[in-house]
Amino acid sequence: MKPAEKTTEQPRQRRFGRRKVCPFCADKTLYIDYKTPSMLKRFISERGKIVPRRISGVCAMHQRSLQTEIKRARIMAFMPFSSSTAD
Amino acid sequence: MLVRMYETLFITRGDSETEAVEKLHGRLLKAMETLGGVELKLADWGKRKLAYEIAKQKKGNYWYFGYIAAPEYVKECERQLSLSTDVIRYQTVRLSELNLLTAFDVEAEKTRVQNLTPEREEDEEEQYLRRRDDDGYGRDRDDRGDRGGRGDRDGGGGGGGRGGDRGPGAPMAAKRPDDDDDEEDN
Repeated sequence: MKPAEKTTEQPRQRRFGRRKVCPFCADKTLYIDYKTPSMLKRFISERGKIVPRRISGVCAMHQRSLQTEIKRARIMAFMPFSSSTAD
Repeated sequence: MLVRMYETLFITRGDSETEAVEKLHGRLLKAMETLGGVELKLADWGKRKLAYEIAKQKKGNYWYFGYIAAPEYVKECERQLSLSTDVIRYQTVRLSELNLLTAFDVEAEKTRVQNLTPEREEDEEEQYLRRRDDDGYGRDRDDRGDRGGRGDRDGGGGGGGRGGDRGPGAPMAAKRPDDDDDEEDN
């Protein structure tokens, strides 16, 4: 029996006004490195938490490397593990 | 000899003398003689404010030590660092895979490491200004606004959008019950 043809592909509904693009995919020269805390700081919240990628728009691959580099930077006291006040 | 490239960043106490690091450097080089390896650079990255106190110190001197050596050397190097009372924190990061020493372009790596410059530290005023302008990513979980519940599972008129996914200024676009996840990335 022939499988039903799936030709009726529905166009996906856009939920956002603008699609977030991973900044590291957009600019290949950007290098995620624990030694450059100023760049990593964009991806932590005021409390020092790592911003989830559904908010920052970073792709899965780069979020993973971002995660390790932020953790390395924390060990070297480049950025805080946490800060109770808005710091 | 099978070696890897590593970099060790270590922090000495803010009030420590550079002599102590020179002595430590001597010991590190001595260990390198016995265990083999090439030093790329030992650089003083200067005094920086620590993000949190380490050993009751608010400031620390950062040192960058890049080298090509066998994995055993890293152990010895970290042992030497841990013995020093001036070193309050150290971290070694592997930069390459196991390879023959001849396979490394030592000179090219040396120049690369030489050109590594530490970031300039912002003073208080700059930090304040940046924080004020920082509206993109500096938000915390608590600032994201009400999540507005999960909505009905089997679509109850598409109410109850997931407020969390949008920025504060994003329009509440019409939410259909059937598109309900970030499936394109996962």
